[in-house]
Amino acid sequence: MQKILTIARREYQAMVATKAFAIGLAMMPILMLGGTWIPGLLKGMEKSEDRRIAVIDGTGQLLGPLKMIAERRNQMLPSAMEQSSSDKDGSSKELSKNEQEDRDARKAMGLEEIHRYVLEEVSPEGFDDEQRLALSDKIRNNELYAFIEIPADVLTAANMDLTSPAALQLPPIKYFAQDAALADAKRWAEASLNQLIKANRLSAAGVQPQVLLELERKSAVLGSGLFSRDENGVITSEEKPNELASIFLPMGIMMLMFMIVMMSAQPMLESVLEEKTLRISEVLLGSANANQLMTGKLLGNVAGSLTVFVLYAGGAIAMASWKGFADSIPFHVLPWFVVYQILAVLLFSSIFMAIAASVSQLREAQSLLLPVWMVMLLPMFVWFNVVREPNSTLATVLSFFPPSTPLMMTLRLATGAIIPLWQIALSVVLLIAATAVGVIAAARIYRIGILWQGKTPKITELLVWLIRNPTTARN
Amino acid sequence: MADNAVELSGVTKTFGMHTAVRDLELAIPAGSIYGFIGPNGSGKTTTIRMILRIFFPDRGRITVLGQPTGECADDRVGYLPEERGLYRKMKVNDLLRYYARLKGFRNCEGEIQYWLGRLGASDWGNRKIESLSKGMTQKVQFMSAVIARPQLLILDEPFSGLDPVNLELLREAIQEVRSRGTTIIFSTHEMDVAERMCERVFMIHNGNKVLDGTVSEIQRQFPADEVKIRLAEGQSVPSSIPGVVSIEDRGAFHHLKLDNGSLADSLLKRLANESRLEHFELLRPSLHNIFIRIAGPIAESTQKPVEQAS
Repeated sequence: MQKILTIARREYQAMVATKAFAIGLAMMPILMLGGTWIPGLLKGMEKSEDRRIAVIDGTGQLLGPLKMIAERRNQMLPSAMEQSSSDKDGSSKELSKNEQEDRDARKAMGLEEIHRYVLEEVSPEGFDDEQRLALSDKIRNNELYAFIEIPADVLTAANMDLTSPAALQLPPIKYFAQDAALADAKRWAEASLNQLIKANRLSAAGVQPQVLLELERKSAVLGSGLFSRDENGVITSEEKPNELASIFLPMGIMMLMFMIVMMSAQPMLESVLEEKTLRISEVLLGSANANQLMTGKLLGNVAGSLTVFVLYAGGAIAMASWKGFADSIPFHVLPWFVVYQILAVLLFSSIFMAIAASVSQLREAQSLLLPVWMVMLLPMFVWFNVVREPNSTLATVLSFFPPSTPLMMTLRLATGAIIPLWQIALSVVLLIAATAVGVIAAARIYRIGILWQGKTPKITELLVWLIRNPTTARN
Repeated sequence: MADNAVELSGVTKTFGMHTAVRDLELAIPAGSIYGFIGPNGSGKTTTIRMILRIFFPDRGRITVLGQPTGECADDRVGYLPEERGLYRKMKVNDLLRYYARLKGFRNCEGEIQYWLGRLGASDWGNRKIESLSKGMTQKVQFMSAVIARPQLLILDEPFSGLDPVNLELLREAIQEVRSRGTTIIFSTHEMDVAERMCERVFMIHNGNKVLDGTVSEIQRQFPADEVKIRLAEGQSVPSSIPGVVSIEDRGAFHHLKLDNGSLADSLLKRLANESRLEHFELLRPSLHNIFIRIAGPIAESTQKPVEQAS
């Protein structure tokens, strides 16, 4: 036992007291969050500018209202609102609650629009390819951002033959720009023009646009918390869940699990490989047997992973409390997180140790690692579906597949949905069983592999190591 | 303690189709320095690993320090593997402390300081292994093997990569460890070191024990087949002498290699008759020559049938 603890202590120090660990600790959140923050940051650095859009209005009726819509939109842009924030007039209050939430969501995803649209009229009289070329050249020279061609018959086109699918479409409006396919401006033009066209066509059919607006008023469906009875017997409703938090928080917690397992298993790979290639394992085996060695290393590794957990979880909780989100911290997940984490680290670290023991170079390990990564990352491919439906069949099945259990169960638990206790218990039992089998199998490969020099064994040879009785086959 | 520090009887170890060690009998007296020699791949390291209980023999019995080998490694045995065996990122002090504790020797600070001083390495304590030169690393490796005061010390090629000064330092250190009562086994390719240091030498070749005994016992097994002569000035050694295979001019002396079965005294008579002989010396075969006789390419081809018979 003394030996195991001595080995564990060295392993812990080798893992934690290195520059690589400190850098990894700092880099991981930056890399992970960078995916969502950096586009936002870059967007923030982008200066808002006037985007000049030429409109060739064949109908002669749409440009005026479209200009008004553009004007209103420009006033509501964040840059414009900052300028007018002192004179708190109506413009910001005009934003409906839905619009505000929509904008918050877009802002969080880094999709905030910041540019002003300035519309210019180009006469449709005699508009031909020559002029289209001239406008295209202007766009290429950055004198113009885009031009939109509205066909003359878009308001009047009528087709009584409703059986033809083509008849359900109005003549198309054409949008020309350098990034024509995905631009925000194109989406804005499509939405705004269709609104105008609809209003126009309705009034042509004798319906007042006000009636349309009245008919189009919508009711939002708000996700709300369940009711429960508190200790005083008063029925209260839970806080209304924040939609963003309910999507990104579970994902963040799943990513935390992934980072911790990765930061723990990778050093094990390197440490075993170093011991093997530098013949340190021979010295160690002269002092302790392979089981003591592996147990000690795994213990040190788990201790290291718990250190990462304490640092990250502590940091996240402190951050959330400071920012006033203390209520949304899912404390109920933490104990389970630790249980799943310990088992996951044991399982994956022992597999990584076995892989390191059976190769002689890091390069050779990569091909064996790939399938392990794929299996572990399975929940990452489906996380969005699981967040929306935490008790779906997919989520349940993956929870009982031990290699993906740790990520999947923490993801499901963090959604706040009620996961049946039997599922938690069963997943833990299955994971314990798989971890036991994994550690024993890895130990068999490890004890033979660490003394194996020369060519990398074939998979069939690894299977032989696995099956042979370890007490007689220690060579 | 038993009279013998290590005893092997009837030990055989095979790896798949290859027999690494065959029916080995060996007794290493307590307190002795025992040299293991043999070409690469002859079974030296396998034998050492079996003594260390890293490998188990397929057949036979191994007793180390009075204990039959079991599952557990022995804390009383120190080991220096051939080349490396140290964590590159660790500091010398931490590493020595770790290896001492692994052997259950917890109060090790004094010992660490002693050995650092003894091998002229007092100021390396806080340096990382990766920053040390090859010779320095070799010394740290030696320290890590002796730090837990072993009763049996096994050194695999302890002198490789050392300059003559450090080689001498390490040789003295090994003698010092031995004077504390530690039994020492070391393997080496350097025959003159083995000849100078070892009381007994054991040679293994193709998994078979081919030599075992004191250096002079071994030399006695091999007939002297070389003669060193000097003739008086102005006289020249005849270019061919019956019964002499080769004549080598080494300046002041000539070395004559005798044919198998030729006797040195007939050569002496002949030379004394024909010329004025100033020096005539019958050379005992060196360990180096014996090694080459056994393991050299000629020996290989003649040994084959014997091996098949066994």
